[in-house]
Amino acid sequence: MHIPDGFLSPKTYIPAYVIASGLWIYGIKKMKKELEDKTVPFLSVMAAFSFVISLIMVPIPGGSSGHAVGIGLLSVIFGYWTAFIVLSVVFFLQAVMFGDGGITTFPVNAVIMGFVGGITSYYVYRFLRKINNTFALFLAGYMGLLISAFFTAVVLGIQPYIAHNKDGNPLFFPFDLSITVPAVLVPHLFIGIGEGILTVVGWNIYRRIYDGKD
Amino acid sequence: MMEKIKGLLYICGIFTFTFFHNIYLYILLIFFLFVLSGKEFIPIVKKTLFSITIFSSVVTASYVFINGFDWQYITLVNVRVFGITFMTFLFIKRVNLFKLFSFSENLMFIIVLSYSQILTFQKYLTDFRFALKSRTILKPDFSDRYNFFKRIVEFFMKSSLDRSKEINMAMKSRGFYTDE
Repeated sequence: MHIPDGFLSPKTYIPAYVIASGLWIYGIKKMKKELEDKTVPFLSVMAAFSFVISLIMVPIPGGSSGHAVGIGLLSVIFGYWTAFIVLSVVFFLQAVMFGDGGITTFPVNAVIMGFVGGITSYYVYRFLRKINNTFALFLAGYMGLLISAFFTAVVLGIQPYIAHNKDGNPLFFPFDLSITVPAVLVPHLFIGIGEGILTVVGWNIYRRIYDGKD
Repeated sequence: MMEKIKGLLYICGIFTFTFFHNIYLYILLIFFLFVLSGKEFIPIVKKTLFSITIFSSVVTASYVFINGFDWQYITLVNVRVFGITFMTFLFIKRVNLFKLFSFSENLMFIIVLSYSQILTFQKYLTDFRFALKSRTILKPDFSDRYNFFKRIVEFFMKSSLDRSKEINMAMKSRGFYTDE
């Protein structure tokens, strides 16, 4: 889902930086208030955790496997602000150090996957946990990724409308919403299963480590 | 100071690649970046191509399939994508990222610590993969793969939470925080 540099117009990445900056400032303040001097080590290590989790193939029933990002897991355990800040650090390092994503697409990825995805996972879990905890966790991970994928498709799909030359030809990403929404969403209907499984497994492990129950 | 000037030039480069839509300007800029890369030209080109090939190829092939061969658009987008990515990798080679963020102690620590932890975790993950490979002759079935996945997640989660506490104590003991 990571978009490389060069496909998003300045009309997209400049406002994205403005929005992301505001969210980063508020999110870090909130984290500092909760974690105090533990913020820096916690944030750094959880960023490494999230990074390595994204490299692990999650086995999906049926013989296949998919990559997860850890949006749902981080969000349901630590809250969506922490998830957003941690994932922002991951996306930044992926863009500059590992060549995955890009510096112009970094704020878009951070806001969409980190914030929108995180907030979706958090509230899906909050609303559904009383019905069935495992189902709520799975759906939190699944929906967090699916909603992120939808917004990514929207950001890509609006490029031909907002950035084109005099003849109407696109200057950045060429396909409109009618193509990007199904093209991005359909594979993520499947990939989301991996994210859901990771959220359930990760949550149970976290509880076993810290609460002494499963 | 030098790092910050390079950072500013990098931002100007990003703006040039995204505000202007002229293939010849891009080629000129890329040629200039090639010269600047010196001996690191080939490794950076390889890294750039590795990073952009899949996404760019899918977009280009789909565009040709849907809209026909519009060489101007295809060249413009692909040269731009290559140019920005090459410039980013060159920037990372030439600039000490940790120094660039030295204006904020916390930000610098987060980047240094995250990066070092990522490298350590990546090594562990490679070791785990080799361990599974060396212990299985046939392709592991779903339950084996699921158990392997669960154990890895457990290991990394436990390590992360423990390391977070250890690093915090190490930082405290070295006087990184001043008591109010």
